[in-house]
Amino acid sequence: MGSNARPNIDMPSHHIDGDMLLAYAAGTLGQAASIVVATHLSYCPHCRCSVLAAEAVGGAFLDDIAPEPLAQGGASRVMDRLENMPAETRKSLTEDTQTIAGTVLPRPVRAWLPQDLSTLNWSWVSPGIKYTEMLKDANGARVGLMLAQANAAISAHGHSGEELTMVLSGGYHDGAVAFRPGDVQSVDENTHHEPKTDDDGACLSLIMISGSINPTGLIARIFRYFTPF
Amino acid sequence: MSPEVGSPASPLGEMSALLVTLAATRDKQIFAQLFAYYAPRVKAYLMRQGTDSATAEELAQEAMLIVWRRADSFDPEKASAATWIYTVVRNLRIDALRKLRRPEFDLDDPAFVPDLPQRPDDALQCDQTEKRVREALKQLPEEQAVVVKLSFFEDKPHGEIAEQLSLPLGTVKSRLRLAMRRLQPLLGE
Repeated sequence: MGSNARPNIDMPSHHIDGDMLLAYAAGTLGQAASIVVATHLSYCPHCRCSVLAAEAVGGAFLDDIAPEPLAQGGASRVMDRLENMPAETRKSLTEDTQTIAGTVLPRPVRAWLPQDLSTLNWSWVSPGIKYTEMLKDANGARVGLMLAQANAAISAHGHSGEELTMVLSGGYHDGAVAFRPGDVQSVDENTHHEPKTDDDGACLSLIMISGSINPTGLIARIFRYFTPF
Repeated sequence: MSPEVGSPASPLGEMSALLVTLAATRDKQIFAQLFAYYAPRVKAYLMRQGTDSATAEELAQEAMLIVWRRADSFDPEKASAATWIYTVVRNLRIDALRKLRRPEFDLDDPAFVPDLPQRPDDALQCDQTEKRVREALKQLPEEQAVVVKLSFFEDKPHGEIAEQLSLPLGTVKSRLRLAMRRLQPLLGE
């Protein structure tokens, strides 16, 4: 059952920006955006290779840096602690058979959701579209899941900041451009767009918003709902 | 041990070999060699990022203890010891700072999509990332090297790096993009 629900994903065709991958590798990217990046990386060998290249830059800097001597006795304190520290073996994860829209969620998403997915707090934000928030990070960026029925139109919206959407199952079109599982769409404040979910089934996507939201449109309604004041 | 530069016995290859041996043998003397080389570098790295000396020392020790426990998950085919230890340090620092676990993909995730069987030249591209990056870094134009370095050493979003350099954000981003393209010239966009 679990393996049938595995996402049927070829290489995604819409990727994460190079500078965002670099920020993720450098550890400077915010938590909400990092969740979207890590999720895309679960699906995308191409971007994993780019992140590896950026991490190799970090490795090169680490090798080249002038060493800073440790405090007196630092080394022996660590050596003393080795006794009580057995090796960690990689534990195989128990197969999660819970699905949303027929899909097992990848770890970077699953980690922020309750054990029992039936207890998820969905809110209807528009006819045929519901949302559940996973996290609001220290910079005020938010990330959550949006589940839209087939043929749902997501009304035009604007905001200051950036919006990242990543399809987890199903798909949508924005104009002539198709977004399928693993694909990421990045939209900035100057873009008005009008995505519409495909007619062959529900579309589950991970959605991240940074900055404040223009007071019109669906995304505004979503995030106003979740802002207490 | 007087390694020739570029030989498998150069510090880069030597440390990776030690790490592989550590995973196989759990030998404390091997660990001591890795510790002597990396702990002071990790401490220096954290201090460059603005961590105070005492915290940097503590995190460096913690990082090396993670190296001891998880040496087994180091894959010398994928990365050098330096790169792997860099990721350990980065994650440890973020977890400590945010009190939240850094989102990471997981090879054991049932939803994980493994590397595709690639064309022979594609496989080459990712396997030789480490070597290529080191060579490309040496040849990076100064203005690009500066933004790459800042993005690793300053715990700041790109917008603040732009302010610090008195450059428009777009310029910082395009320099980073150019630099990353040079660092992975075969990968395209």
